Amino acid sequence: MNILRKFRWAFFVFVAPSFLIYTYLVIFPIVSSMAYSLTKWNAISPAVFVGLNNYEALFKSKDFAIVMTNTWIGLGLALVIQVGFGLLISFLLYQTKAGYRAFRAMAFLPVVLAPAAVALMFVLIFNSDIGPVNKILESIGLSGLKRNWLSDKDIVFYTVLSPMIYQFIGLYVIVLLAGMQSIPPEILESSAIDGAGSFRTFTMIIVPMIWDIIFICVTLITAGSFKAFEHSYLMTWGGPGVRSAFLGVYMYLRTFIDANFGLGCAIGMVILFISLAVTMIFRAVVRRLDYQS
Amino acid sequence: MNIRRSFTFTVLGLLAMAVLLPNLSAAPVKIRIAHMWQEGASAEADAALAVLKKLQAAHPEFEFVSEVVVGDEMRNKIRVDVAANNAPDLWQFWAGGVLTDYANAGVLLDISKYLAKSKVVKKADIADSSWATCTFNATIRAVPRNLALGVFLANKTLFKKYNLKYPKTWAEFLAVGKTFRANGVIPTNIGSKGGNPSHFWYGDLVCQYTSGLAGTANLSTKLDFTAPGFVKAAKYCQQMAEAGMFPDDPMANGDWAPSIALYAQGNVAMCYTFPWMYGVFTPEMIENSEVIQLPKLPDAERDPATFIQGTVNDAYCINAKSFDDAKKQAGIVLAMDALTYDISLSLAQMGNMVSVNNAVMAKVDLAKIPNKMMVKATQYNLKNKISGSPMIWQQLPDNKLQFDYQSAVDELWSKSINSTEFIAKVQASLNEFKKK
Amino acid sequence: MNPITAERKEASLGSFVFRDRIMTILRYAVLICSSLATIFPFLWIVLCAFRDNTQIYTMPFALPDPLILANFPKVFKSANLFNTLLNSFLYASVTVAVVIVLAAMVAFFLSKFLKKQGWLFTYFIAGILIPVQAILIPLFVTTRDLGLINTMQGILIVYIATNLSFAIFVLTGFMRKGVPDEMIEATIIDGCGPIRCFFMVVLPLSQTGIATVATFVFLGVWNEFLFALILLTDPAIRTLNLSIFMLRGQYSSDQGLMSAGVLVLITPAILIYIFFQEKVVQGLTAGAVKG
Repeated sequence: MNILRKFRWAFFVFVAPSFLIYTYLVIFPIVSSMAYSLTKWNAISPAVFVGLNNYEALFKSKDFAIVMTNTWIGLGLALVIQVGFGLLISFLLYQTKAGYRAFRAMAFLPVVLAPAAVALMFVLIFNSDIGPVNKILESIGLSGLKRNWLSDKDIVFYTVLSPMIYQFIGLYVIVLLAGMQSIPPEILESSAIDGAGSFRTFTMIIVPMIWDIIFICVTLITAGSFKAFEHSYLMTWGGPGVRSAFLGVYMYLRTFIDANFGLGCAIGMVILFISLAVTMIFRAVVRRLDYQS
Repeated sequence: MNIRRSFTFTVLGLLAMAVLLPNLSAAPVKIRIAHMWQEGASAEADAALAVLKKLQAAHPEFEFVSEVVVGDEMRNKIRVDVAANNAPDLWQFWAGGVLTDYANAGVLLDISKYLAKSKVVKKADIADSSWATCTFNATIRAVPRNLALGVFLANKTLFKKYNLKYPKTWAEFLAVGKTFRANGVIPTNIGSKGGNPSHFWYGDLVCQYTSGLAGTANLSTKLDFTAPGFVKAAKYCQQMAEAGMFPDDPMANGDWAPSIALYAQGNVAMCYTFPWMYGVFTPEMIENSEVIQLPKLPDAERDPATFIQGTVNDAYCINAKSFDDAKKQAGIVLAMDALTYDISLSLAQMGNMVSVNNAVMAKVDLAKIPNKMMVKATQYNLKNKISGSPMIWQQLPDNKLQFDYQSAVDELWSKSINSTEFIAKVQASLNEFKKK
Repeated sequence: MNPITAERKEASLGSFVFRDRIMTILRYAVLICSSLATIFPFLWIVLCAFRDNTQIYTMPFALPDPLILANFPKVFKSANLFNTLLNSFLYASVTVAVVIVLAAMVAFFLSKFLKKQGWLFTYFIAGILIPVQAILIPLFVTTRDLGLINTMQGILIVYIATNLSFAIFVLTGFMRKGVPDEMIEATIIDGCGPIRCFFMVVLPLSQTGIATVATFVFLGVWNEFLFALILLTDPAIRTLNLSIFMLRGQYSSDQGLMSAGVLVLITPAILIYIFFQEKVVQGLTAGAVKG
């Protein structure tokens, strides 16, 4: 607004405090993290410069390869399931009048729970000797599907992933629902007049209208996937070995259990780089789609 | 004018008081103790805290502050605190390689300085072999606390129900396991999360071989994990995993508490555990448990009827910097005496731990120990002249090696890797350490 | 209206009603199923909180028999609960208060002083994408150097810094649409400075957006785990979340006790959500999510 632009001091009053705090505690640490990632340091004795050794060690490590694969699969599944279910449930809610508030509240309920609490719940639920999952499978005659949810190396990762995905679907339901509700009603009315069924309304009108909101969800899911920590750490310590570890857990273990702070920073840098890169790619894709439609 | 002047004086007066007060009323000197006793969590915790309360009452000139962190999280806490230059004055830790970093960085007090001041702890009261687990470059850096003395139990009812004899040989062991499995009973409680309690079991099998025993004892210097003892024991652990001798879900039922929970429910036939878990045993469980020997491996060179895992487990550390602080020193000595002597005595008398301090154990009357699990185990050990064998984890000289070992054991137990890969993995980690 | 369309519409009306009814039934079926799946773990934990190990292990779904109430007093005793509950409230509410003020000021500037969002906006919201792990260790070193490790101020400043990005993102979007330029112009012409204008006009008009941010930030801090685990090793200033985690204990596992602890931890979060949910949804709908 032109009228405000004459207050040149405004930047210093309104922005400077946040700018300083944010720069000092969020941006500056990234730079020093980069510096630490080039050292060998156990946080007790002085750091020793080792060049790119940490990165080299990382990319040679088999464990790191497993963790990277886990992270990618986790991201892929989270995107498909959370956006998919998010769109489905929010669209259903959007059309619903009776019970709308109750359904909405229940959908969002797990989002407000501490991930640590959810992880503690699920470790009990998945315990294959005493937990309800195997008991339910048994009671409905599907004993063949019983698994050692937290130990089977081919399954444990998905076991740990499930509460993560489950917990945050509700957030995307609410965000997408908000997006749908902000679509001008006239547009939908005209589509109804055209006789479009709800499926067509959904794919042809609603989804294109809320592309930017879907993109926000994708961004949040991506950021969330790379930050993931509690579920894996609390349920399995990332194990057995690193079979159920994500980058975040791997970093924690290497940093605080192994006392290898340099390597920990290197992992942190990898996390940062990948999450920025992925978001950029998504952004480019969304721009492209926007452009085409 | 008057008002303003009196106001100024009041403000100045208040300021002066604020500055002077802390100095005038000689505030007690804070002694920070990091330990694992969460109030109300167990009888053991309450007994230990009672000793600290008594100490506090007797010495108001100090303020003894507890910083409670339970279990393996203590490693993280101490690491962060030391890095932040904010380490507690004393802390409970473990003996062996986990101390190396701290010993090398000069964080830990040379214990001879403490022993010179202590009223109750004497060097001669603790065996040299115990001191050795806390010695780095010929200097003692921590006071050993307790023995990790294994015990192997059989659920009497279950053995009777299926008309089985307690196994002594490997073949018998696998055979009873098969019968139990067929009847929906889990043969043993040995899960594996963070290597607990699995790594002890593996170590016990390793020590059935002379090469394994020597290999374990020399592990910290030779860094060799390929001796036949290590390889064979790993093979038998893999065999156990494949034969369903462990809980189905070793991760979910691993770590200390969960590994006992199944046995407590009567779903498990044999239980391998350690004294710090005795507090969990109910009288019915103890009544229903028989102490048995570990099964003898087909090609064993040492008889498991004569030994079990039994070496120093925990140790107490003193912050070297704090000890040099003249104000704190006396308080630290008092607190350390309470930890290493009074609390140990109290817990040993309850039957919740086996102290490494002979003077403490001499005061414990076996007949008076209320925890009958301890009584049962001790009587068995005395009768069969059981000796303690060394622990692999403790002999691994640094945090990364220890962690790699723990997670490799988890993988072996969960059948994620086979025994060959297990050995290769640990050896690779040792080789990497060697390079430095 | 085009006669052809009108005809088509009439012809298909009958089948439409039928199809609608089936769709409605299907819709409710899906919604009910998903809601049940959503609240099942929650209900199960409630069930566990009133039972002991034996009951939980032998009959996972049975009702409490007998009803065990002892778990709750035990939680309050062993988790040092009142103290940590108070800490968590303190951390969450102070963070919310500070973040709201700081972020609203920035959002005001970004949405009303600048022509375009520009680099400053990008700079601020980049923080949403920065995983805490990437800055964890230097943050730890920084708080150490400031002498703030193991202090309430230390964790507060970290929470404030790490929540700014999200708050600025939401509030900027909200103010751009929710606070009409004309009102600001009118106040400025009346002779108010930007600061008074901010407090008299912008803040009151942004209430809904602020409620949204406040709720998310409050819950974020309430549920935060990693920073608390690293930065707070002194039990006296621990968060509730952390002390419930400590309940899990390595040497004793009382599932009923732990469930009770989890219940105590999540109840305030749920209450806050129930209390603010209308505002949250309104805030998101009013364009807050559209950056």
